[in-house]
Amino acid sequence: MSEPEATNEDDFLKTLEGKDLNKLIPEVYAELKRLAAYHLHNERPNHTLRPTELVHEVYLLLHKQHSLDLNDRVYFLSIASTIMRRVLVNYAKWRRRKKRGEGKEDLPLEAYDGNTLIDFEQNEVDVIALEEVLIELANRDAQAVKIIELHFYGGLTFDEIARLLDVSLSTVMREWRFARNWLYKKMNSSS
Amino acid sequence: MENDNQNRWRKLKDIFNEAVEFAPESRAAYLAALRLDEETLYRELAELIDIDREAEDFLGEPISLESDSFSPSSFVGETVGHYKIAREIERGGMGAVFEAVRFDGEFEQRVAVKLVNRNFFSDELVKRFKKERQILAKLEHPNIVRLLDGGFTRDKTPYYVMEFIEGTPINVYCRENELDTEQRLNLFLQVCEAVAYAHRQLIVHRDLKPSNILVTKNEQAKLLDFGIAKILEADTDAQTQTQNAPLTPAYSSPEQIKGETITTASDVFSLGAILYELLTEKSPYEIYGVGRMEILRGICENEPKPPSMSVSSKFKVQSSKSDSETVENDNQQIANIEQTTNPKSKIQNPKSLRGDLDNIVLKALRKEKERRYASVEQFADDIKNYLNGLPVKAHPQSFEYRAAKFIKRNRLAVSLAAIAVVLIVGGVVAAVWQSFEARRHQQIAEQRFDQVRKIANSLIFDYHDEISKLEGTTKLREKLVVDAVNYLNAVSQEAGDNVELLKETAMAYRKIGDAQGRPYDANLGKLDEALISYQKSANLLEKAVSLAPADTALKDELLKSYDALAQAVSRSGDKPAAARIIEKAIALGEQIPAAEKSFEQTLFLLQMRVTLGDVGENTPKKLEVYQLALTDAKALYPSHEDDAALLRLLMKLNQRTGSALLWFGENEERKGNGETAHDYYRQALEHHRQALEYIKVFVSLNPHERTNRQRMYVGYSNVAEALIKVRDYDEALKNLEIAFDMNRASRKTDPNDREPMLEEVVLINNKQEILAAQGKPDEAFKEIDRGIDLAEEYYRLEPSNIEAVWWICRHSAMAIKLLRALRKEKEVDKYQQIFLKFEKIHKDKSGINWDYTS
Repeated sequence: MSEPEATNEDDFLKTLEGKDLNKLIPEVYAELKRLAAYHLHNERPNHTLRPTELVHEVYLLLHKQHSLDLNDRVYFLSIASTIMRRVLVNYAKWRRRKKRGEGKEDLPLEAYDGNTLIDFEQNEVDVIALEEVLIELANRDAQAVKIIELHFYGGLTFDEIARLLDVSLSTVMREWRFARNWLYKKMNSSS
Repeated sequence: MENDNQNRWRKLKDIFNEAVEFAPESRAAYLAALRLDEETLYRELAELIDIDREAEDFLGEPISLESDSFSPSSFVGETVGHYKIAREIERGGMGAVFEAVRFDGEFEQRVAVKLVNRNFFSDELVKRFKKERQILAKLEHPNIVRLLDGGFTRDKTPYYVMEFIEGTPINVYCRENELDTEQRLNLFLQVCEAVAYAHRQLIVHRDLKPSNILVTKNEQAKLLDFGIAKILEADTDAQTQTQNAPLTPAYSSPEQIKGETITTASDVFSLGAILYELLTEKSPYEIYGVGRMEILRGICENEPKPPSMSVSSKFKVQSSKSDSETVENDNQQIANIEQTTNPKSKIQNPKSLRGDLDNIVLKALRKEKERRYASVEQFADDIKNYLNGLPVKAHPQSFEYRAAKFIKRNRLAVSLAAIAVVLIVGGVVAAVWQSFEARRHQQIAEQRFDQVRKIANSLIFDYHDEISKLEGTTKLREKLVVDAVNYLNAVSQEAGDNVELLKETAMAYRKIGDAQGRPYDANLGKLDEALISYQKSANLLEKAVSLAPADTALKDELLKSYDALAQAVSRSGDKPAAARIIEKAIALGEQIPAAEKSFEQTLFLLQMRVTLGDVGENTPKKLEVYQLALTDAKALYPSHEDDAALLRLLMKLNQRTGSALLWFGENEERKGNGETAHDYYRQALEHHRQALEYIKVFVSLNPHERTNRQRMYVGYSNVAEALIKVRDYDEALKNLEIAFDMNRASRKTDPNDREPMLEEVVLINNKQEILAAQGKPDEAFKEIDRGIDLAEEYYRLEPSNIEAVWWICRHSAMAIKLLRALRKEKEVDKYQQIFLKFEKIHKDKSGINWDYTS
């Protein structure tokens, strides 16, 4: 099971385990980051970015280049959702830093780098806070973290998750519901 | 310990899962009945069960992000122009739309106010904003939302005011009011009328989708959001030609997705997709696939099913979330969507769609734009034919069509076909024109001629642009351009005194000139031929202007042709000839009465005067040209304080004047006229200071421009340089330090950009000159050493750049001069060696001896 709290990217990549797709991981990581950056920094009015679509985009790209078969898809999405979690948490942290930096109005020349800030959607989860409780949950229940990650960051349906983890749908749903409530409670009590 | 924790966790999970199997109201009782001996476990469970409902949607939707939007709530209650903002209607990344009320009018007028997000406030955006205003102002149609007003708020937020529309998106309206097929078609025809009207104004909407079409209570369709519309005739501007990925891919045409030329045919496609949805209640996502990638590919590759076949399978609808008790149910629903039918929607009778309507929709949705309806009018006419029971023009895809598709695989053949088409049409135009001449007053013939001519023009230019994207088509393009020139030559022969035709042909010549003279296109870069085309364009327009001297628009076109001609002539190296053309243009501009001259025109003419100065020799006349232009530009400033283009012009003119004055000063100094020189220097300083003031204003108004730091840097270093000349060393040093800081920041931002490194070497040179003049030789030597080190480093990184070598020579020569003045001959040797080494490199690489002025 993956542990995304590794300190640097290399360590992080090593923690992702897999079959022959393993050697693709750096490429997936680079592609996802590139695509995410592209979409995040592109000035696009009224634009909503769905990371799930990015994950699919990367899959289609690599699918062509490396002729992956269909069984690889779900497995691929599993890796990609872990990576997406990492990318988005890093982005959220960067964004928070940047927002703080913007407080000083007398630095318009240095502060601005030509990029548009993208916000996590309103009423949406505080990604940084979620990350803290996810790390806590990982100490108790790695499988639950994986399920949350696959659905929330990877956009996999519960059916797909069941197939991927080779368990029944009802097991996935039970694990999901419990972990979801636990995280929700943690996040609302600690704040 | 480890095991205990795991056991406790499992226990927690198991009891939780059992408890939630019960109905919510019985769960507490179940938990109590378990008589758990551990108090904390019990409390934790109770809490987890308690929040089950509250947490139901938590993390359920996969994460998504949206453009940062400004806080529009702060605007509610404020006044913008003559309007008081009442409430927010909608917002997105670009800005927000509000409902507002006019407060100074006699009657209460409800309007919609669109405010642009200041985060995005950039030159580009202001340009887009102005363009949308310009576009909307041009459009007056009952089915297009009216622009009422616009401008900038006190804090310089751009806004515009539009007619307030209370309506529902067309697809929702049709579904909620259960319209039948005929009603839907009639509603759709209103939309077609609006789009066709815009096309007649040469405006393509480019973002047609149901949410941009509102239907009012009186069943009137209103088209909104010309935000990314494009004026076809303004195509010459290179910036507008870059295509951005479509904002709403679902209703976009294949050519839009591929980033190809967008024409009115793109709107035909989008209308087709909308009609498909109105008839079948299936969105493009259901036709082509969900997800950005899938839909993009689907639109480009997959042929949609005929609507009649689409409607016979069950509707997919969005499930309502409220009735889901548990997550399992939620998930179940997702799986069930395929089988759900929408009780509210009036299912179209598939039979009524089969045949003609299928053909009509599919014809609008063809991948190749040539195969679609040639215009929105024709699309609408076919729908009317259907409604009136007349035969429709759309047919199922024919053998001919499939053959064409086959041929298309061979791109060369298509290109050839395109040329054939141009030739044929060219011939037809000439023939029709002749018959028109024969029956001079027959209006029909004239209209016919206009139509054919327009088709011919668009064929030439569209095909040229298309073909230029293909590799290895240079020969074909050459031929196409030659054909186009022949065609234009033929038409212009016939133009006689027809002002409209003269103008149109002249504009076409200018376009051809652009194609011929593209400097980056080695194979087609035929400057000589471009010159001829531009010259012809100018000649025709000169004739038109003489025929219709009151027509300002003609003069505007002639100015543009002069400008293009002057630039081409200047590029060919004949600067005096370029200057003569610009002088002609300026004289023409002066003929336009001030009252008729637009601000843009005035700026354009001022810009030409800058060019006139630039192409001129370094003579007092050049200085005079800049100075007079500067006086005129300054006169415009009070009424256009925040205009970015004017500010740029003012910076440029002050900098040019300042630099010219410095040059004259140096000249006088060489002649030994110290006092005159000083006088020039003082004036130069004044201008560079002025330039810096304008730069500061510009930067404060356009804080997000990428090149701002560069601008400020140039401003400060120019001031410093002029201060050195007037020997105000303390002030010079102050300005220099600011320039240093900015340059350092640039180096940090992009370490790969080596330009700032070289800039620093130049700045160091200025600094050591100051220090030497102030009698601080030790500090000066420190700077010289630093300058040499940095220049050497640069030279190692970019050995091909001779500039660094030049600066090493310069720095070491300065050191030698300084040491000799201080009579420290012993130390000269070190710098002498550096100097000799790099002097040789300079000579080897450039072939000329280094000297201070080389």
